[in-house]
Amino acid sequence: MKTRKAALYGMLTALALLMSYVEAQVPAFFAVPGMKLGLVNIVVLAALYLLGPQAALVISLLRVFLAAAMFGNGMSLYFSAAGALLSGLVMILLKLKFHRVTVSIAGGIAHNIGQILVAMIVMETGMVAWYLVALWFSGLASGALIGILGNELVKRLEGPVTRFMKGDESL
Amino acid sequence: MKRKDIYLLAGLITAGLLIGLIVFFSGKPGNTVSVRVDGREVMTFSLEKEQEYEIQGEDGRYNKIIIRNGEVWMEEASCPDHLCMKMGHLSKSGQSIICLPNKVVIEIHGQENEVDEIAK
Repeated sequence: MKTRKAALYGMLTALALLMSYVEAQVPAFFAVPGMKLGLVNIVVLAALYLLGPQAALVISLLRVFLAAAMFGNGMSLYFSAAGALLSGLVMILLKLKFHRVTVSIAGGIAHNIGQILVAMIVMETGMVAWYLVALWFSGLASGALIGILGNELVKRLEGPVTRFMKGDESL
Repeated sequence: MKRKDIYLLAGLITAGLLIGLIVFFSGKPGNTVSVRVDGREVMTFSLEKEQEYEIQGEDGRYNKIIIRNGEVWMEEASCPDHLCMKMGHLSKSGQSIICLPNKVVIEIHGQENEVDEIAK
């Protein structure tokens, strides 16, 4: 049971890391810093629904630190840590009452807002209000897309993962 | 998706629009441009006067801004992503161009800042 849990955590962390690598390769064609597709959130969403809130937070934060160590630049750690933390907490809270897609959308917005709050502190400027609007809606859009994908993924994985955790050898 | 989901999503969209409206209507035309590097203000320019300015940083980092026709934009930058160059031409108070890799912030200030400048 413990080994199985460790294996799943490890696999999901590796997947999340891979997603952030893939996303880092996409040329920055968005005009606003922090605008992202949020591929990582598919994995965090899956962890949240398949393994629980604790797993989602652990995997998400592990990913942030590993990604920063491997291909981050100075400041990026603070931005992504703030985004991941705020988005994780919002998703855990909303999971209690709301649909997966809604949870993902709110998480997407929260991720961007967390980032921009840290940016305001780091850059010592209150003048990022324009980004706030752009990032709010980009978080909403990417959250919706990721939510729809993540929802389908969770639907298909729910059964196998539960059986795996119970010790089904046939998997 | 249930009704409460729809309500929450509608709320999120409304909140975003509200923030947008507030930001849009609080945007007055600016008149000064301030350049800050690593949190420290290094230069201020008038938005009315034509100007080219190059910011030299450590390790050969540089940013070049142009002020023309009441607009300011980032013409050149040494950063890898060039996001700052894609932020366009700005003219309203409160708008800013941020180049994170070089820690350069270009901000436009409005009328009230003029008093501050004179008071300095």
